[in-house]
Amino acid sequence: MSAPHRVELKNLQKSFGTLDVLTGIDLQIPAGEVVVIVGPSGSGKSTMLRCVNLLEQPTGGQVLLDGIDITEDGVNVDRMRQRVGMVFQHFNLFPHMSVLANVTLALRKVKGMPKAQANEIGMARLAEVDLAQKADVRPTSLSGGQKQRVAIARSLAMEPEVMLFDEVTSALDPELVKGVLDVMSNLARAGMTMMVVTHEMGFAREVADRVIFMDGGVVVEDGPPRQIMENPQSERLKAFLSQVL
Amino acid sequence: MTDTTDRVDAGSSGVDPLGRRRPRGSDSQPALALVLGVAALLAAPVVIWVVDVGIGGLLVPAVGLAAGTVTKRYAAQIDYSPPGDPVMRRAELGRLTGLTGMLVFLVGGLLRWITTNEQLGILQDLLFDLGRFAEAFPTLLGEGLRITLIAWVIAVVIGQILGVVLALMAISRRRIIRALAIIYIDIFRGLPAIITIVLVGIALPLAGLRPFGRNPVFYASFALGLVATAYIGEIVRAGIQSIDEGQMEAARSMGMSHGQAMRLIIVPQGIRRVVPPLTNEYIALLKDTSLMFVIGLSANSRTFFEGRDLFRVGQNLAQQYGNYSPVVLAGIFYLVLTIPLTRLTNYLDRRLRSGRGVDHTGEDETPELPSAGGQA
Repeated sequence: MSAPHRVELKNLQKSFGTLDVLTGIDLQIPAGEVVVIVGPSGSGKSTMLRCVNLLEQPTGGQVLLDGIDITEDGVNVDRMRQRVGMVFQHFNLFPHMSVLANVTLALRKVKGMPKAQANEIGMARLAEVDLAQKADVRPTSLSGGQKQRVAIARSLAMEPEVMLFDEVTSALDPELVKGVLDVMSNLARAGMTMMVVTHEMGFAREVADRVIFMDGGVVVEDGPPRQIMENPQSERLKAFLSQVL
Repeated sequence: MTDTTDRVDAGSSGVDPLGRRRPRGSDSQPALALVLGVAALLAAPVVIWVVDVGIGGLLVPAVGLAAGTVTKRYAAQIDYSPPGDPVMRRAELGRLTGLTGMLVFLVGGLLRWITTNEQLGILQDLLFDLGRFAEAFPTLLGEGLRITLIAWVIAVVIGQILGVVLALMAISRRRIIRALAIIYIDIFRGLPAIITIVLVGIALPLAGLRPFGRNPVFYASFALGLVATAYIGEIVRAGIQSIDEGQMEAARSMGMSHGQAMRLIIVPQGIRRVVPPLTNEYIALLKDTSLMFVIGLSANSRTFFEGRDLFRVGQNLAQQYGNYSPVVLAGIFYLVLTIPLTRLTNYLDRRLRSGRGVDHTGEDETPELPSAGGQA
């Protein structure tokens, strides 16, 4: 067998009390692949994503990163998370520090990098999202789109192997969405392995290598964007597409 | 009575833009109000000095004020009467003269009372004796203020440090640690501070436990610190719990440990949010240092940390002089300390509420400031 998949989910299950959100997900994502996950709300998309870096503890099954099961006891979760970046719907920037400090905090405190070196990397990441000029301001003074680009730069500063995007444009005003999607497209082109939960079907069509349609806690369809969007097999996907397209 | 020159002055008076006419006869009311107001103003001093009817004399100028106010309201609501309208001007003048009459009456009455009352002279000698002020001032400043500030600083430092620890215990995932925190808070918030001070300052040394030597100031400060810990713990806990969960998730997703996320992200933001109630607690603590007299303070300042606090110095000097001016002066010392702190609290509160220093990170949550937790 060739190199292990970057991310692999084996019969992943998650319940909240009596509510079964994920009822058995199997998924393999090779390095460099961009996977867009779509589906109606409540289908378990976000929960699945949050299981990949163990923000949610799975109740069954396995999550493998580069072939290593991270759900096993004894795995250093903090170290694992350094390799998995995550961007949230509500940005979750740290309001009590400057934009640059947001980006460099984990470099300094988690990787133990000297401040000067961390600042250099931080400024480079901010420049990539076109926000170097905002390095010294507080996140409060930024627009939603700018906040989200800072959040992406903050994740990228840790040089993760996988990036998770959880509805990152859902809280943005429509005119600010494109700037964030552009940053994500560039990242995809640069070869980042990405799992993207989104409602932006245009982004799925143009950037994704693969689109996954989830419903009721399982993967219903899985294929290239053209196939999923133009030739849906299941009734559920057809119904979903008629709603969003 | 509508007089023609008024109409010319006011331009549109009498007819409003919608074409409503001012009801007939209403013009005479402002005139009456003016007459009443002026009469009240003139009558006020006469009532005070000549007739001397006591507080009942207030009725005279009150009539002028009431007439003016009512007329003005009436004119503004029923009629169309712009501010410059002579009818309005008359009503306003009636109100103002009535108001001035009342002020004249009150001030005059007070002056009359002060100048004729013998009791007041005694009161002044006993509480505001400037000579005694001057005599007491050096001791209050050199000993009282020093000890009060020492005790306050010790209590604040203990309360703030242990308070944060207690807050973290109160939100611990372990039930046993949470229970310990709740028991601590229940006890030290429920006990009167004076009992805690007695137990720590008298009972502990009597039982042979003398961690702070023989200086009662340290025992009292420590006891106050224990009390403050309970209050500050609750304030900080509320602040921490008001921080959005996404902050913790973002920190953890970058590889920070739970402790790091708490220390670097959650606690700093939580404390920032509760700065106003915290300063309130500091003010309450400053005043509570005056309770330390119950464990007996030595007037001997052998070391910098020994002596009596402001209240005790004031009280001792009052007994010595047979005059309470030192206690009043001690009170003034407290006010000089607490009023600026109160202003600072209000300023910080406004600043935090106006959004500087707090941020919503894109969510439409409103930061809930826990209500002020002063106990004194």
